[in-house]
Amino acid sequence: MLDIVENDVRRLRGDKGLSQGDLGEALGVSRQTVNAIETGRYSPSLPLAIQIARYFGSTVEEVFHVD
Amino acid sequence: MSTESRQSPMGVGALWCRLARSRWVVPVFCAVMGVIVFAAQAANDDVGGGVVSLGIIWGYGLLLVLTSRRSETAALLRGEVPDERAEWIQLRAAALTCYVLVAVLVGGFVVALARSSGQADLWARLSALTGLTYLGSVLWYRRRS
Repeated sequence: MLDIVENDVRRLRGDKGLSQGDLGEALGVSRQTVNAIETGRYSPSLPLAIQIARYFGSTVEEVFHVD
Repeated sequence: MSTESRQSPMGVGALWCRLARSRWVVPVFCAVMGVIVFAAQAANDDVGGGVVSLGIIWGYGLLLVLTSRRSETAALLRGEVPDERAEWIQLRAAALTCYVLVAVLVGGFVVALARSSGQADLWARLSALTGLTYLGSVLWYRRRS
């Protein structure tokens, strides 16, 4: 099972000029959860990962990846 | 699909989950438990101790209410589950708490046995209850997932 999944959420959020709170509000999660996802401390569920990818107009594979 | 949409089918279980996740359950529980503990100690002629217990329990509940907006830890202790990460934290914290309790139960049972204490039966019953609850939970959740 893959535990460490890296992601581009911070970069994508920065490109949109959003704060963690803004993104959290848009996704229906807390600011702390956005921070935890960005820093890799928490891997989102598949439904939330899909939601994040759709929000940025990307696919899950483009946003989340194992290097 | 959000966490909320997963809870949408309303039944007794879903209703209970919603109630248990209310941000007022823990403060109300503290308020009620404070009164119960005070009454129990007062009935044992320990009114002073009862007042202290009441203050501690009510103070804890009040502290959570006052700080939960600024502190995520306080919000979690208050029982708030705003998203899936909070649910994950609550589940892991509950699991760790259970591991500690099981270790205490088994340890207490072994020590009581070694000392030929009359409390071995109590420890054994509590351990059996814990084991049966775990078994039942595994069966229940295996069927539902």
